[in-house]
Amino acid sequence: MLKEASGAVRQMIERRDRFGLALLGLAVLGVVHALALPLSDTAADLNMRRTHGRLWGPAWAALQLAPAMYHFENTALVYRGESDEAPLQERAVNHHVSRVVYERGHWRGLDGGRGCYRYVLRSRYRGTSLTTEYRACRSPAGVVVRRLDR
Amino acid sequence: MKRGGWLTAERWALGGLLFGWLMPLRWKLATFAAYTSESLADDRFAPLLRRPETLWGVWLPTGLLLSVALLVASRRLRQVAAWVTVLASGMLMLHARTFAWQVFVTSFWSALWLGWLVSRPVADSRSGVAVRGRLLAQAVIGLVFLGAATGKWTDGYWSGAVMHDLMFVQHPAPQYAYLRGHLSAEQLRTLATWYSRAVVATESLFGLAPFIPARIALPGLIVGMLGMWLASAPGVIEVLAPLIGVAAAAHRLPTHDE
Repeated sequence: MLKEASGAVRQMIERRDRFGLALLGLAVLGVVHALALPLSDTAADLNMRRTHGRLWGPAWAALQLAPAMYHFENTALVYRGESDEAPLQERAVNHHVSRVVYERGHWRGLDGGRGCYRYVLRSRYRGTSLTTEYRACRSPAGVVVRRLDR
Repeated sequence: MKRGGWLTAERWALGGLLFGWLMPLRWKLATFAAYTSESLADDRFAPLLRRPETLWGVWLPTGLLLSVALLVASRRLRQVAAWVTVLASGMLMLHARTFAWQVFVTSFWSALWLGWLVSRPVADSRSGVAVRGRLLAQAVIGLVFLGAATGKWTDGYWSGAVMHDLMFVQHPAPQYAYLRGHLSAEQLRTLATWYSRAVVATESLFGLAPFIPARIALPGLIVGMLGMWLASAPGVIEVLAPLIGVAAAAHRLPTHDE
């Protein structure tokens, strides 16, 4: 089963295929990263912070190379203004939960999408969970977004 | 050495990238147009990474370049297209409006693989490139699916509760709307459980691709990804197309030296 793979790696070394070895190395790093998720709460927390937009910029950018298709158990609750009454929307979100704050389509149905909204974003993964709040105010001129918990 | 076999393989990878990059065309055009008319103020993103002009200025020329590189038999052009796509995907992965779009993640990895293929020296043997190219293709595709799978190794995905909410309750795709209209809530929930388990098991299995002989793994991945597209939402093809292109290209790499 491993004969083909080891033969290819041996060839890369013999033929000094540095690009091939680098690409393989990067893929192996990606695999280590993927397998760290279920094995380490720290890795899960780090990746959750990535999808909540709570990671230091360069670290966030580096982790963006890792796939996040339908990652974690995510929900977004959307409230009108500062209200704590029943949310206008409660929905499951795929990939990066913080996308609901920025992407067209995720604010349709919110009273025409104008005014200020508070987003409560929640993610769970095995023993790890994270909640983040955003405020987004939309007007004809544009949208102003701010994370509330900092 | 004749390069005909490589050209076909490189075109498969380019075609997959181009399809994923542009499709669904009307939806992407409408989405980017909507962002053009709405400015975004947020200190999380650098100004360049929240401007709509960046979306247009990166996405459109890259799509055009991929189209020309597919049509014109110039290796230099395919090299430029591969590297531009790596940079463009990297940039759109960081943009405020598109950071969650997984098409740019699969495009990035697929363009890196194409970049490797199009930079093989002419003197390199066909069989050698095929052996290495197939392992690298399986590694790239395996990494993407393993990354997708481990994020779902939770009770919520295994029980189907997450997929039930995401797909069977709220997804607007026609097959889910049809199921909502024709199945009871209980039947929908049961279907969601088995659908979710099938997704988790399939993605986990695809993660093992580098350890499976290429003659089985590559056709298996292509059939599996097409099956995923049919069973999932139509829009998923934009994410899968670059990987299907890489798998098809690696499968088509000529294996005999002349």
